[in-house]
Amino acid sequence: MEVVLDQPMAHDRETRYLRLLSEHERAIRRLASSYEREPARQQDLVQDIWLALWQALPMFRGDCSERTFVFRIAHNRGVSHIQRWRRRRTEPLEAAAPIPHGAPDPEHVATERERRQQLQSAVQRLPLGLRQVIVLALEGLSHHEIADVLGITENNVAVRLTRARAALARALGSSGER
Amino acid sequence: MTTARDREMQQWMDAWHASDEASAAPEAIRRHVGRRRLLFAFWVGCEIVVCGGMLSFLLHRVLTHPDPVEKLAMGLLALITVSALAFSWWNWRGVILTGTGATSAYIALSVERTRRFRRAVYVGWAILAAEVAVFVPWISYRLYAGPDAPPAGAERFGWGLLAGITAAAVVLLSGLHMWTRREARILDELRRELDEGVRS
Repeated sequence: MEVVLDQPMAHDRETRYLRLLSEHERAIRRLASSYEREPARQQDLVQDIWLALWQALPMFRGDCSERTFVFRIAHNRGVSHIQRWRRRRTEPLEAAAPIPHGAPDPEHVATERERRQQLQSAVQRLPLGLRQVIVLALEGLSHHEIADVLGITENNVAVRLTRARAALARALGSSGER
Repeated sequence: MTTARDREMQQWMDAWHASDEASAAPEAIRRHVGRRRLLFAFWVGCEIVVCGGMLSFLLHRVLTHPDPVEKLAMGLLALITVSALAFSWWNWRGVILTGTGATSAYIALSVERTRRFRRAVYVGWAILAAEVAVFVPWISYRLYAGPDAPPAGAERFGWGLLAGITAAAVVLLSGLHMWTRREARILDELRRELDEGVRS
């Protein structure tokens, strides 16, 4: 459920920050995993996101929901993260590990962990524009909220989401485009 | 009515949320943020001390030194320093804070930052040229204005230091110039990738 603050300045910065940290920490880690596969770098990204959020918090005026605000900051840091590693000319995230297989075999019952890894790998391989949209959709954001986070139209969100879902379905060997 | 696609999406959402591992991250994050805040404060403090100290020194020389040439040289260096600070403030206004807008606006902000960085590099060349233009006559005056020939050590030190600092600044500015070009290219790539899902 979304929380829109009626009085944005009601709480002091520290209190609000700690509340956001406890509410969104897991979501931010999941989001970071879509930008970075390597665990140490992923942790760096998570910390960068929270640092950016601390710096940005005084600028929050309640013109969007807190969740939208947090995801905006997080995606922006994610983009900066890609930018930083390209600057260092290291291997791009998208080119790394293959998707672990298991789903096509009907006899094989994948564990939750395997399913999660497959999904995560498939998400990581999507083009950036699709990846951002599907990650926000997986987090449960509406089209309107996703549009608000990414600065694109709702129609654009719908188009990207359709393509992202089809690409994910293909990658995971499930039903695909229908 | 639940369609197969909805069910599939729901399964993905469940898998996406399911495997959250227990994390000690909040405490680590708090420590990291605390350290970075201190580091930032330290950095800003150092800049204020260095710039303030340099300006104080230059102004003190202007006001107290008996030699008018020394006064002029120090005054010009103080003017260059103040101009550089004023340019820096003007150049970075409005783009230095954390981007809180949507991703598309953030990319636009990053492009603008890169553009301003490039402008700062161009101005850096001008500042370097101005400083060399002040230091060359000043060093010449200090070494050769008197009736005696300057000591060889002083001459080597004076010109050597100027040459060394100028060379280091040239290398630094050239590096920054290349960095801004690469940065602009990376941002352009990212912008294209963000649009890729729709155009393909």
